[in-house]
Amino acid sequence: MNRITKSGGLLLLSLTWIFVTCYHFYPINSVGALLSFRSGLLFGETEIPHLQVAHESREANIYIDSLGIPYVFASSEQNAMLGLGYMHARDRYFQMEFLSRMVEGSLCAILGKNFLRSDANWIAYDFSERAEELLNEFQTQHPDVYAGLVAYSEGVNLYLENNVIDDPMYKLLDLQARKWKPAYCLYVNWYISRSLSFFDYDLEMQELITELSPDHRAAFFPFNPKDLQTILPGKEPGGISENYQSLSLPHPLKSIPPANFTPGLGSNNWAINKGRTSNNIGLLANDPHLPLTLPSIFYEAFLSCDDFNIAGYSIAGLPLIVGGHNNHMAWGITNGEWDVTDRYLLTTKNDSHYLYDGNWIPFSAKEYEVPIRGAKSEKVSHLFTVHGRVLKDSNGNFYAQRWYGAEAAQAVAALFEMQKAKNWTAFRTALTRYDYPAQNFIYADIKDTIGIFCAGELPARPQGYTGGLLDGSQKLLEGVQQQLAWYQVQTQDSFLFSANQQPLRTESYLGAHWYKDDYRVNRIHELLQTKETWDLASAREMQQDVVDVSFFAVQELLQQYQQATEKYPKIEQSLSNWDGKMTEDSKAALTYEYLRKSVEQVAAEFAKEELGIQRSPSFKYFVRHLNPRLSPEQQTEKEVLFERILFKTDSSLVASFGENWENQSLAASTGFMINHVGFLPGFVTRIDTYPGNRNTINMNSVARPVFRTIFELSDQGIQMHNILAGGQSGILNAKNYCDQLDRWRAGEYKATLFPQNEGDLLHIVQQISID
Amino acid sequence: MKKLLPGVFYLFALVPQFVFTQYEWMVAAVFLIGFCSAFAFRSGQVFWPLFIMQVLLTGIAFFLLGDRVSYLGDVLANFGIPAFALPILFVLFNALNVPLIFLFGRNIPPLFKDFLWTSEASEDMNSSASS
Repeated sequence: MNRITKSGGLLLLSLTWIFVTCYHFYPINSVGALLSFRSGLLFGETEIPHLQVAHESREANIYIDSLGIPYVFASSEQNAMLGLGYMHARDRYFQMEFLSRMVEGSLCAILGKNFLRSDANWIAYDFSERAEELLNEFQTQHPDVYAGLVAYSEGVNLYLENNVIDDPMYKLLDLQARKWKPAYCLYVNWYISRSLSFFDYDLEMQELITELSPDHRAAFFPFNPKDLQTILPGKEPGGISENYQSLSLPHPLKSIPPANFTPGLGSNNWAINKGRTSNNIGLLANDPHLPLTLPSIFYEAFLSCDDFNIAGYSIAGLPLIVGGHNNHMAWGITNGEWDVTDRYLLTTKNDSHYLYDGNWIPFSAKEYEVPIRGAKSEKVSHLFTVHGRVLKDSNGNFYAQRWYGAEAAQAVAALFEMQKAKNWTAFRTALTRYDYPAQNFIYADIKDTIGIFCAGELPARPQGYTGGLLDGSQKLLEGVQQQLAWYQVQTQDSFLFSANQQPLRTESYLGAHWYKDDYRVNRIHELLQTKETWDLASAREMQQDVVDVSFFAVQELLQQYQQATEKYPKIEQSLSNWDGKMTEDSKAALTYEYLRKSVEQVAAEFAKEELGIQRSPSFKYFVRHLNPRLSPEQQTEKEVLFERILFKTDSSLVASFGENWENQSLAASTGFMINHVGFLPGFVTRIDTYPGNRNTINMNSVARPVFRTIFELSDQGIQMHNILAGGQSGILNAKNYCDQLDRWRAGEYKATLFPQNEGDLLHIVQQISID
Repeated sequence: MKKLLPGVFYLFALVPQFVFTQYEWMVAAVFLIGFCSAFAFRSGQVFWPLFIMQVLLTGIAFFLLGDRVSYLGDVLANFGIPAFALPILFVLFNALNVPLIFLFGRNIPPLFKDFLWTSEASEDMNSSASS
């Protein structure tokens, strides 16, 4: 009996072990599968130096260099797209599947219930239906674009069919890669579009319109202010039109969470004519800023076929080079930040009908089924009006939300043409049909023409509208505004730039550009205007410039409020004779960063307590309000506010670094983390220190330069210098996963090859022949 | 020859982890080998020889291929676990895993045998007591 008990106990122990090691902790694979050898993370396929892949009708030669950059040589445009698709799948398939599923609303199907909120939101856009409609339209109206999307998808699937998927993410999540479809390319486009153009801040804007007095509005949130530095010169700004009767807020805004609008995000691009450079070589620079992820959404590639040679950054999941150069011209992008999301206030009856054009109309309801991995499917229902999806707030008010970016994707077709342009006219013509997300395209060519095109579609809105809620009982304005060909071109001794600011002075409502601080914009303008001669080194230096010019406005306050400043001698001493450079080793930079944040905190308190609104005034207008030289009224109250700022600065520095905080430098507080795609807990990479802050060109707020490029343009051709924040591969254990990150962090660039033929290639580690 | 038999079974038990891409198939294979071993030889020490062989084998595999999972070291570090826990985790897990699955398979036949023997014995005892 004793032996039976012993054997039984051992058996039970073994059984428990087997059960635990085989158990799937959704969405993660079983511990046994992950840690065992052949099924687990230790095992991987060996890379073959020369791989032959059979295809019945297409051919391409792909050479991959030591940084993982593919050089695709093909006989036709479609074959080049096939090669790009093959490489995107090889290096980024998990990322591509993740993004396409997110937009489709099917993340729960692979990652479990945690993503239900995301799926429930995305699924209501019905992108699968929209994608089919658009693909049919492309097939008839832009057959070359359609053929490109099909060839690209073929390339992706060719990789999936001929290779074992060796990405640890697929093992970690115990997934099989699904087949790629051309529609998924449009999904990726919509993902980008939503990230860059979905600004639902109409309630906050409405509050400013209805709750603030005209004086306060002019002081803290001025419409088209006089010193607004626009991308393009334009007519003088008009006032607020009398034709438009704004709505009133249905209730105080206190219960509404702040809108997801972060001022201070930003990208930069600029172009300089040859005449302003020391070596008669034109320059174009671009550094788009986004919250960093590993891998980055961008993927460097070179494509060559009979029609064109293009090099630059593509987006994983799209057969396009969105920033780069061909034999004739180079281009770069910054986000336009146009507001293409409208919120309509609805008048409702019985929570089931809404007033529209004098009639009570029932909400239309739609139910969606969200499949969930490891659990039963969930049903999600949404209500709709003619204006869009219905939202209800905690006060029982109904709104309809319309994001115009969901309704079209002509950007794909426009970029397809644009990347092949040989001159400014072709570039401009291609971008005329570009829609969402609005982007500022900078251009320079080897003939020394530089230009900038602010491309995008702006919804039709009532005349005089300046943001805020729209009336849902009024007839819907369909279509887009017509003034879309906004561009400027220069041919000699000049410069052009954009940094997410407003394109031009116009009475049309474009977004909340004037609510943002424009220190970065002004710094770029100042540098481009004052520096006489430029070269590659000075362009690099400018891309990594860390001067925060907002300091000089605060410095004036420190001088004006001498009495308050003297109470905080350490702050005063730390900032005396400082040049505003937010370098990591600067002690003054640390003091100022805390001071800047304290200004923002006090501005937020001021907005709630004094102005009675949720949205804080921008740093610039709040500091201007405190400055007795610019705004002489109520000096005592302002001095109290400034003293509160200094007190907060001092106490937060003491709380963070102790009484001897003056010995610390900026390096002590500038670290950040980069999330890995998949967003599993613990999968983050830490960057310990990084120079700059949200007002500098080399920005250090939520968004950082995803890549940096500088193009040198001469009669001999175009040379690209660039670096990616991460690496080419999206595979966690690949050597190119984040091999460019340290160089990006150090501000280094690499000179990129632009081979005219296969014989010009260098550092090739693998060749893939498709035929 | 009879002395070599346990060693042959141990070696067989090590193979599935290098063959099967599906973990459940690997478990089934090791279980089966353990089950068969119960009929082939009787030896008190099964766990430790297998454990030591697995430590050596997984240790070598980790030494050669540990770079493939170096990112997990960062993940552990983000949870406050030192990076050297990673090789320990891999080696220890595999050193325990194969022997325990093997033992599970190996213990089933004797257990049934013992159980049947005990039932028969108790039946015999009951019948002799009643007679």
